[in-house]
Amino acid sequence: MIELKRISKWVMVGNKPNFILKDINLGIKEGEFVSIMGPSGSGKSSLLNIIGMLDDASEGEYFFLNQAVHGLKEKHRSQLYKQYIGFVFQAYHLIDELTVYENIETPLIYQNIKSSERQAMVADILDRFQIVGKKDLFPTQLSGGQQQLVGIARALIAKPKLLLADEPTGNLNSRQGEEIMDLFKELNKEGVTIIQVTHSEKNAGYGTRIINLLDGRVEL
Amino acid sequence: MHPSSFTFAWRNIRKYPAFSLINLGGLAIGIAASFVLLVYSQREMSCDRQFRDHDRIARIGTDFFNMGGFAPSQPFLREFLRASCKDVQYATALMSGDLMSVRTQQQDRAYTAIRAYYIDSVFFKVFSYPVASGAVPQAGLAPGQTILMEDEARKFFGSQDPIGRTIYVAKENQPYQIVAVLKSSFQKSHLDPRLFLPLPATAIGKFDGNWSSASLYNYVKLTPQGSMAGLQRWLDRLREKVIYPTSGAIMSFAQWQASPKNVKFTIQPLADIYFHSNLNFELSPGGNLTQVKLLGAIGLFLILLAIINYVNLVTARSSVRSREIGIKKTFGASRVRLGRQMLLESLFFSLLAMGLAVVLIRGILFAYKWATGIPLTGPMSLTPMHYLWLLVFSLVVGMLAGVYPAIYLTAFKPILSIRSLAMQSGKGNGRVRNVLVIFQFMVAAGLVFSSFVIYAQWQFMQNKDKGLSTQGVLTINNLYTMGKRTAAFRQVVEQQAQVVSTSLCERAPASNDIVMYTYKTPAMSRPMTIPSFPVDARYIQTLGLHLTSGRNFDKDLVSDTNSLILNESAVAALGLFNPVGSTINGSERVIGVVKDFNYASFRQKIGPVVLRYSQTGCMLAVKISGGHVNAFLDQLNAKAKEFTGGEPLEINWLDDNFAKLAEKEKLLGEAITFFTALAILLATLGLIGLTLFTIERRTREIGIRKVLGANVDQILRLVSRDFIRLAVIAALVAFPISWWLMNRWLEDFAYRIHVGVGTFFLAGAVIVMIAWSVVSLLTIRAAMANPIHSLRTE
Repeated sequence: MIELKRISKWVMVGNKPNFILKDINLGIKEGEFVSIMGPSGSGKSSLLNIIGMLDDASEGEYFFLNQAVHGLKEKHRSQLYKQYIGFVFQAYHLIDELTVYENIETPLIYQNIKSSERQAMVADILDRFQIVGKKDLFPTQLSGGQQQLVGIARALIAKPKLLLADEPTGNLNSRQGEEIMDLFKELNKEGVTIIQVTHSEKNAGYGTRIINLLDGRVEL
Repeated sequence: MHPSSFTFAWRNIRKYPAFSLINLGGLAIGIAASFVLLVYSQREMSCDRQFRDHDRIARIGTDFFNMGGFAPSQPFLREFLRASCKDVQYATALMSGDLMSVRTQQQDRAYTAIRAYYIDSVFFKVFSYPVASGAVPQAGLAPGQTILMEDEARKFFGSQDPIGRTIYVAKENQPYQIVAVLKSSFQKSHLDPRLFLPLPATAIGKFDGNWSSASLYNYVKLTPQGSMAGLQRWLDRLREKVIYPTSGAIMSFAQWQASPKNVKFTIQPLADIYFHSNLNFELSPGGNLTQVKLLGAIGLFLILLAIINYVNLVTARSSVRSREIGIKKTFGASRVRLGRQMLLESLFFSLLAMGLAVVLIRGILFAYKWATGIPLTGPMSLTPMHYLWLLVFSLVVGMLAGVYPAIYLTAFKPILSIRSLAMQSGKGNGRVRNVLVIFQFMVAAGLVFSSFVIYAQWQFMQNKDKGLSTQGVLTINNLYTMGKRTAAFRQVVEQQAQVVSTSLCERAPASNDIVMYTYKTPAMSRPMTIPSFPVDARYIQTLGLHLTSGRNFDKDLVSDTNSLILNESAVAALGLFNPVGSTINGSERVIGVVKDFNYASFRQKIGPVVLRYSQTGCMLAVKISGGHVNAFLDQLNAKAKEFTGGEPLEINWLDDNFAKLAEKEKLLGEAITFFTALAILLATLGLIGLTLFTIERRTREIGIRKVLGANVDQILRLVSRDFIRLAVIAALVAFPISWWLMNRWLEDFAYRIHVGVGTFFLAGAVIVMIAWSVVSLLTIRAAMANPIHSLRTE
């Protein structure tokens, strides 16, 4: 599903390149549940951003479902990730001005899905996550765990093949964190490929494979 | 040492340079523009009030033969006033001279177009002009003495002392010795003398019993006990006891009062002359009260806009400030203390803005003069006193701008503030801000709409079918210098290739000339006074009047010396059904009718006019075609020299005459456009600030939406939608109000436009376009930015 070849990312500091990622080769198959681990500043989030097509690599090739992402124009790339990728963030990143319902609905609006269809899809997912009763509340009225639940619901609403999660439990207490990880595991069983960035060995244990990063390189 | 509030404010300014610049710039523009307008209005409103005891000074105008009233009156009225009017302390008569040439050496080149007033011995007892140097002679100017205004003295002599020097006035190089120089004043007056000369005794002459003359401007200063009513009673008695008996009429006083031979007087208090005098031969063009009020109101609006800008921008940044205030509160700062700090900050800000405003004021005055050709606040622009007022004004603005932020920002509970959750409790504040933005856009929309209407009316006046063709028509006004050689001169003019037609006449449309005759049909009981144009047979052709029935005058028909041509209004006014062929005044025959043509301001409806056949005239109207006008005029002047004895021709273009009539409207239009542009600029600055703030606040949201798949278009729409909604609401509120105001303004015009739906749409489109483009331009960068930057978790 994902094929990274000799991916490097650097920023220029003065006249010297400062490498964030260096020479990464990585393949991820459909149905995997991968955890990316490593200390702060090792390039975990950068790698995730590149996989999520939010950022460009400075060098190297990236194939997603056999399409060469590095050769795509911005417009096509966003088409691609709109269709196949869902994002979950550590800080949830819900829109404060919108209700739970509206937050979940937003990605569908940007995919030009009809209103009646949207209603059905949002209703399904609210039901599945058991948050129907909260649909008219605003994010600030929810606990962190509930907010992250909404964030995941939003990421899944468009039925992505790949779920990218950047420290999804970082802001949650351990019980809430466990619930989220259980949910991930369940989703993975249903066929969703998941890549998560995490600090926690325990969370990494939920996955099928662990990739360790150190100073921008994959540790073997 | 702990930084003072000012240091703190200064650091705050430097920390957010773009934001501070917008805020400072907006405040400075507001202060500068509104200050200029307030100074302008104040100067206009206090015209002539600088003279000591101005409420005891009045002018007496006169009217006879129902000619419409004159600002000057009978030359010997002064003697009657002095002899028997108990209410009057001083009576003075002055004569307004033509524009003259002045030389400082007999052989020097002359300074031209200097306005001279001929004054009598008590002029300065009535009008208290401050003296700059020399002394005004107690007994008045002796023959050969003169007094100058400061500006003229500087122009003639530079920095040298002008007292005791001699100037040579007019063509004859009449010598006058300078005895005093008067201070130039910022204040406006309807009197605009540059040079005072002694009034010659011949100007008053001997009383000859002729009350149908008006050549001197008679001003009186009442005694401290005197009253205008007393003066009025004295004038009434004068009419009954002196004027009526000398008229020699065989009718009762009551009948005489109703007849055209009646002589009337008008008393004009000094302060009323500038705005309210509509008499003929006024000394200087009057002011327009509507315009002054309108511009004054715009001035107030502009400063309101600037204050709102400040309030909006400061409270918009409450999330930043609330953290600071919260921390200070936790350490025990009281609300009063924090409020005082906010106030001091806005005062500091307004002082900085004032510094900028001083530069801007000069810029605005310069730009206004450059754009309109007329200085807004007179030749002196500003005095040191004004800068003191500017300081006071700026401090007041600073106070007003600081009050709301001081109350609003210091009200946060410290815990909320520190966690910067103020945003949630700030919902109400957002509403206040929206109302303020709506208000700003309302003012801008109203002004845009008004300037469109005024411009359209002005255009309409320029393009309206005047019933005559003014293009290429000029009049030569000083035929009197040619004497009997006028006919020969006319032949020379007609020989020029560009000349289409010439006409000898005594009156041109839209000029200052007044000719009145009385007319009476057999059916009428009383004669009617109608403006008349004594003209020759080529007048209709030269001015392009339209003959609708009958025929033109014929110079070969002897009988035509008694012929009249009426305009359509005159036909109606005289009640003629078959005008051509009818007889008026017993022996005068109507031979033709012309379409109504404009000869006065568009504010008045075209009235009755009679063309009278006359073969002599004091001016020559010339119609030319083709280009090279300047070359033609040079050639004409060269040829004219031998006829005029060396004097240049006095030439007036008919187009200029009409332009002068529309000058007030043009000026108003230009002033409004100018300050509308500033208002839009202010509203735009406010919008820029708010948009920047909105973007800053919504960066995260924009990032999330982009990650969720929104494209740049959708983001732009999201952000600009709110602002456009505000602009539309503002326009909807502003248009009815300004429509009503503009209709009241248009009611003054007999010939006016009607404001169509198109104007609303156009003005609305302008406002919405401005809002949309400002917001879009600012948002596009945020919309294009990579969301990972805004979503980074720290």
